[in-house]
Amino acid sequence: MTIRLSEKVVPPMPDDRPDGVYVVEPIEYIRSRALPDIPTLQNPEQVQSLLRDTRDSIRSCSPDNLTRLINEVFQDQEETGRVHH
Amino acid sequence: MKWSNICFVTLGTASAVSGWLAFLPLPGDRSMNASQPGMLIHLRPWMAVACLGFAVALVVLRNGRYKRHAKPVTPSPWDGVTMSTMQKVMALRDEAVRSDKLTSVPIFLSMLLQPEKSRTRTVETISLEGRVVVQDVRVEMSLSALEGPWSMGTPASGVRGRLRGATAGPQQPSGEVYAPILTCLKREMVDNFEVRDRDGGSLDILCYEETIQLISSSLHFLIKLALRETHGGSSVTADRIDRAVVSFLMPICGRMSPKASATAIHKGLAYIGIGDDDLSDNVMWLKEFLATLDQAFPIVVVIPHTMDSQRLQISYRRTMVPPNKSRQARHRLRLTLGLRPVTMQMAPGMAHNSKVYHLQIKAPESQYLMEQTLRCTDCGSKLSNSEIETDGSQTCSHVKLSQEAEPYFQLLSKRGQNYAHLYMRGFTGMDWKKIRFTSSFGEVPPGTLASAVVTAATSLFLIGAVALAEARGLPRTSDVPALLLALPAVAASWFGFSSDNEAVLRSSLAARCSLLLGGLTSLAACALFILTRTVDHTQSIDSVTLMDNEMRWWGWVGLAYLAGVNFGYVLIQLIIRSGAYRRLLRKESVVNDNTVI
Repeated sequence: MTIRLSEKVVPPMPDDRPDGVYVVEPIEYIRSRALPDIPTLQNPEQVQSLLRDTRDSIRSCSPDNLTRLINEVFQDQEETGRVHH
Repeated sequence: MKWSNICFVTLGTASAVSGWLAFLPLPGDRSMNASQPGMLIHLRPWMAVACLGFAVALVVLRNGRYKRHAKPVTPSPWDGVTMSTMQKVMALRDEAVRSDKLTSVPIFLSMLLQPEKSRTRTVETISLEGRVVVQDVRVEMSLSALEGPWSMGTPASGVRGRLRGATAGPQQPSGEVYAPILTCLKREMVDNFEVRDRDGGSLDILCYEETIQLISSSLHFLIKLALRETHGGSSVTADRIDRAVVSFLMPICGRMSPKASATAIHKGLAYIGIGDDDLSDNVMWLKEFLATLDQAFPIVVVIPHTMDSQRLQISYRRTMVPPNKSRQARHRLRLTLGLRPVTMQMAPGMAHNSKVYHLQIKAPESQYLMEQTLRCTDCGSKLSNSEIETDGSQTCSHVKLSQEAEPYFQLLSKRGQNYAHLYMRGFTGMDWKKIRFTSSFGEVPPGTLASAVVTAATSLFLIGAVALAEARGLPRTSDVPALLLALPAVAASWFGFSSDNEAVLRSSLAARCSLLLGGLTSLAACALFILTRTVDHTQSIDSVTLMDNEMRWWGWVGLAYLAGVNFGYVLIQLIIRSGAYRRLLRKESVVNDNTVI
């Protein structure tokens, strides 16, 4: 069943923050749309496999290599002239 | 001494000297005026103008100095993002692997990105009873509602046993679950924050470093998840993934401008070969995770392995003084008279994060609910249960689209109470930004309006009586009428500006205008009585007649007319508002038939 909006004329709300009105926004971040479920995360084997991959990947990175990568990322950002450090 | 202080002192001295020359007698003035002819150019008017000019310049400079000091400091677009910071953050990611936090990543992501699945009820209360607005929020959560291999399972199995899929791995977890229960916007602050389980026990909250451990490891997990679905994802090297993690963590850990933040995220996605047009589900989770943590930061609670209850209750409080825009003349007048807005507008956004949502807006006892609406912000239309969601067309027609989710709301009917109550259910999949709840409050009659009526009636009676006595030429034998005429002005200052001072809602505009007009009218009548007393022909002959009889007559007529209009206006206001309030009290139905008033 679909019901259309009635033709009754109602005064419009001209602004999100109109004059003379207290406007209280939520303190929490609200997502505009709900996210769909991911089939991978419903499968125990795939979740375990992902966790294992993640763990191995993080462990494989040495501190020296990580410092080099961070330096490269900052240099990459500096090339665009946006980093101030 | 600063140049600005020297400037202020100079201007002040110049203004004082020119004021002295303009308004006060100089030594020898009297003898000069008697012995010498009049000057061609009179100095005093020019000194008065100079005094005024210096005073205005002083005020403008002083005000400009305050404005300059009050200007907010613009932060750097990459504030707080340094190499040493990122090295520490990446070290925390390694720490997350050494501890058992990585095993909690799936449930952490689910609760962060799909909070509506675990939140059963949210009760939000806005109190307008004090000098500031107080927002109290209570959220009830059921962790058993989560689906997936990492769900909480049955109570009997315990938390350790409930992490069926997530606990498998080379490292034995401690059984703690890290649940993000609130994702606060970064610019906001929370006070009186409490998290309790069903038995009322307090739960621990992760510190910043521990939360960063979870976030950084979750990012790595989400990148791995996204690359499984993208074309060529398996060929992305570990170095590129680490570069992407660093780039993503920059806006999360620092205070970056929106543009710099978007650039960092875009570069991070480019490192792992994900484009802006890639909208598969796995990639959407990664992008939504980044968008969320770019603007907000999660508060993560620790659920111990000993806890059998799967229900949590969190509560927090926020105290604020909302901005009060006033561009229209009416609202500026209200502010000038010491009034404040009487309307509260809220986006019921938490209805989209919870299965059931209650919103209560409480005004002081001296106020009652005058109007309440749920509207679409695009077209301003009032919404009813059959016309909630827009159909996506440009005309913004509202229809109920989904038959699966049944968005439903109900407003408590107006019955003279001092609060509004909105109930919402099934709004979790809808576009939340389009709905605003507005409630307006008014002063419970008789209130300040009655004081204004009494003051206006007194003013009208006294001015009328004195005017009649003057018109008939009754002799004046005392100064009592002058004192009586000043009485309404005293009453106006007593009644009018001592009310509502402790409330953030101040709604008696008509009463305040009436009291102000009545007080000014009475003072004018008092002045007229005093200034025209010497026209009595029995008084001494050298007294100065300030007004002739005709002007005096029209003065009394004008004042009596103003007092009469003032009395009539405020009396009509009182009758109308009292009638409307009585009709609300006589209403029988508690819930609206059409849910919209």
